Amino acid sequence: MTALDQNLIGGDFKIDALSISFGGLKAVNQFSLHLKPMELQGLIGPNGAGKTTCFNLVTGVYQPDSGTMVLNGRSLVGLEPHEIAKAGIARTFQNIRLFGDLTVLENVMVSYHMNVDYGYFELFLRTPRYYRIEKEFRDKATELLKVMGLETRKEDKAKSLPYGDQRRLEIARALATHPKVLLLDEPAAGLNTQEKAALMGTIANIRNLFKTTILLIEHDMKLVMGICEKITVLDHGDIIAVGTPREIQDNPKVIEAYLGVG
Amino acid sequence: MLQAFLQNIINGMAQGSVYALVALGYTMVYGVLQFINFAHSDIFMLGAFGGFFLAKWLSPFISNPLILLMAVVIGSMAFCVAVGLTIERIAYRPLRTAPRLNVLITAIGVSLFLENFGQIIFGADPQVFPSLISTHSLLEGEGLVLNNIQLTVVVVSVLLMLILHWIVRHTKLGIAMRAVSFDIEVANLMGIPTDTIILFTFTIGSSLAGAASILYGLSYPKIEPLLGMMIGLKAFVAAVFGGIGSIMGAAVGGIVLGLAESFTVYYVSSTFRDAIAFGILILILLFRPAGLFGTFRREKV
Amino acid sequence: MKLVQWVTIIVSVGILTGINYLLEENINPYVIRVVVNCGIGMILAMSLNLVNGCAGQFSLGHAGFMGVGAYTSAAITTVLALSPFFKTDMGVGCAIVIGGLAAALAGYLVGLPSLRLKGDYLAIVTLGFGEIIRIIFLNIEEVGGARGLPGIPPKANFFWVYLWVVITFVALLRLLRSSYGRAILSVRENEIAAESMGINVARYKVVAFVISSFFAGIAGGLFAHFQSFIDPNSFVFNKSVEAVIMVVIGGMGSLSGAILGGIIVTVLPELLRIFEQYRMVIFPLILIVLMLVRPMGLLGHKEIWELFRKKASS
Repeated sequence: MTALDQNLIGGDFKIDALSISFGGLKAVNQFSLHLKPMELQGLIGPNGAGKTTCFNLVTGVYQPDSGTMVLNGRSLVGLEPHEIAKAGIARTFQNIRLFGDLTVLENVMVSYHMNVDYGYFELFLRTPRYYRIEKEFRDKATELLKVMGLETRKEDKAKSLPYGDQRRLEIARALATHPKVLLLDEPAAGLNTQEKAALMGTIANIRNLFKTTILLIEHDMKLVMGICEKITVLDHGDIIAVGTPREIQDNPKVIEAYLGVG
Repeated sequence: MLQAFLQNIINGMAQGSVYALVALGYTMVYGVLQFINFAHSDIFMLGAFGGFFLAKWLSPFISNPLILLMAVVIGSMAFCVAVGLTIERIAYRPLRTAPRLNVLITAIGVSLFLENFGQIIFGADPQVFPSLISTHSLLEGEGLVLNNIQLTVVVVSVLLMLILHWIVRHTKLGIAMRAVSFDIEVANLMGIPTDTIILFTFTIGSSLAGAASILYGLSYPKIEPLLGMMIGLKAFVAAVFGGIGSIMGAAVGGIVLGLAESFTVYYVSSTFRDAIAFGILILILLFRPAGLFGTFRREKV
Repeated sequence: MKLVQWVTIIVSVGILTGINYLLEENINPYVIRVVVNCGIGMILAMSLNLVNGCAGQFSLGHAGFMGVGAYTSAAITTVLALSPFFKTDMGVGCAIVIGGLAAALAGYLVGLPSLRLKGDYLAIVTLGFGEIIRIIFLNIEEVGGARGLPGIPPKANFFWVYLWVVITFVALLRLLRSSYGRAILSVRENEIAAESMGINVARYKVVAFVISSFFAGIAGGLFAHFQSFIDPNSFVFNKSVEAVIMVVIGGMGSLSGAILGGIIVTVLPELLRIFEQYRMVIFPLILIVLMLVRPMGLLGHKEIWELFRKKASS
């Protein structure tokens, strides 16, 4: 198995009526979304609309007050974040959360840990199986970093990478978990125009290379409109519009949410 | 049976109010700076020794025991404030932006330093704290003991806590302090002089420790340089029990701990006296980690 | 295992035996005592480093685990007197391992609350556990209570202690250089990210505690069978602080740093003997100054050989 061939056709992920409130305030209300296999959808909305909270609900960081989410027929509600990751949902973070003091290679290799099949005694004795699996992880990670254009930095500490590379490493690390669904939280935040253009290409590429379904939170309209097939707009925790980029652009409710009532 | 029960309540209250006063120092510093000021327990110890020497020097000049007691309490409070502020300035302030772990380790270092330094100047052997006011019993009831010292301890503690409550709730400094403990960075941006507020917090905390040390010396007239260690830990447990950052919590926590100890000693065994505090701590952290009156803040993802 | 590894083992056992022989024949007992205490300190520091340095937790109760190991192993070789086997070298060795396992069990129990607690809170809870463990020993009359437990067979000499230093070092290094080690490190680096990458953060915190306590228990067993006398005061809070200082001085997260810390903290007070009573003040001062000027410790996260490698390559 290599870093690339993993899933058949991505995940089919159905989110239905997820809600959560913090101290009486409804942060997310009746959030529903259907990601079909290999789809690339966008989730947009003004600051504080509840986008990241949606990701936190979906990845189990927060437990929803109500609602369901089903990945390829399996319910994910009530699972721990690491169980959800194993079930096939991976994410990146808006505020980068790399393992700063580990090397770039190790950052990616952490994600393979869920597939490790040697035990503690084997690592203490360094059995052939230990060597084989460690090599396999290393090779896979290197290959993945090559795809993401980071292989020259693989022995550097993650925290020493330039900002744009850190964002790419976040994506690489998430991909290493073999996700059926990949959640990207503002991957273009803080990037310049050229980097953004490159990222657009990378995201589109990832979907085909890794056969994964993608949900993207992004502020950059050009980026979202350019690559997403379908967009959901969130405002004050509620979904105010769903549709193709064109439909969203012309939707008066969306314009109002972004610009305020004129 | 009932007698013993009541007696335990009296003893527990007296011991507990000392814990409460020390706990307030922990809880306030924790509220503002989010770290355990391990040296607080040794400020308490220094306060006891400060009072010890002060009482020795002053007793030839002041004959009225009440005035002498007041002088010793205030003197010890002032001494503790001086020590507390010095520690803050030298050891903690340079680490304001450092990881919390470093501050914690520094605090442990300061604590060790004071303990060992104390052993050098005061000697490792216990000293006898002078009895500033003579003990006499207030109750002559059926074997129940309530003496004037126990009463003094409780009354002074309650008085100090009420003053503190008033300062925190109704003065400008108190409001600024609460703002800083809510969010130090925002408070700074709002023009609150956070460094001053932190010094103020240390001032209050240390002065309470000073007062507590004299009250302790009155009831348990044996003081030694390692005295603060156990009392400090227990006071911290009391602060956590009540909900760290909560003044009410520290007060209640201290009393509850004092009572729990006195009942354990009576009904179980005196050797488990020190274990009960940690037992309570572990239970509260497992079942209600925010403490009785505390609230936890969620990490933002 | 490969042939190289077998050869390494045989050679190192040979070297240890040789040094052991030389020490016992020619060196005065004071030096041997310091050297052996260094070894025990190294094991203690390396084991604590796994929790405090690698998993990013903060334990202040390491003396408690050491105590569990010491009392369990000593009970086996003295009061329990199961069989004369436990008076021999091998028997004592087995008893020490059993002590380590008992400490690991205690570590599991203490590790559980760490799932819910962070930083200072965890520090205080582990401190509390450490004290509770000590108070329990204080109340078990069968192992001497407050009077302590004398007459433990003094079988732990230079050879056994340093054999365990090597075992601890190799085991922990191999752990850290494995997928499990990366999982533990990822918990330190960023819990939320680790969890999102499928790492069961709770499990690896407990794993770190269990492995760490095992080796602390071994250190305790060696200590008991070197001193041949233990009492509850051997495992007070200050002992835990000492272990923390070792890790902090060496550099949190650095295995070789922990070894360095173990040596410094054991040897420095001996060197400072000329300052007599002031040495106990100098020590905390060093800690404070270190936090102010070099908070990452002498080596930081790095291993000592990485310092040289970096110079060679650049």
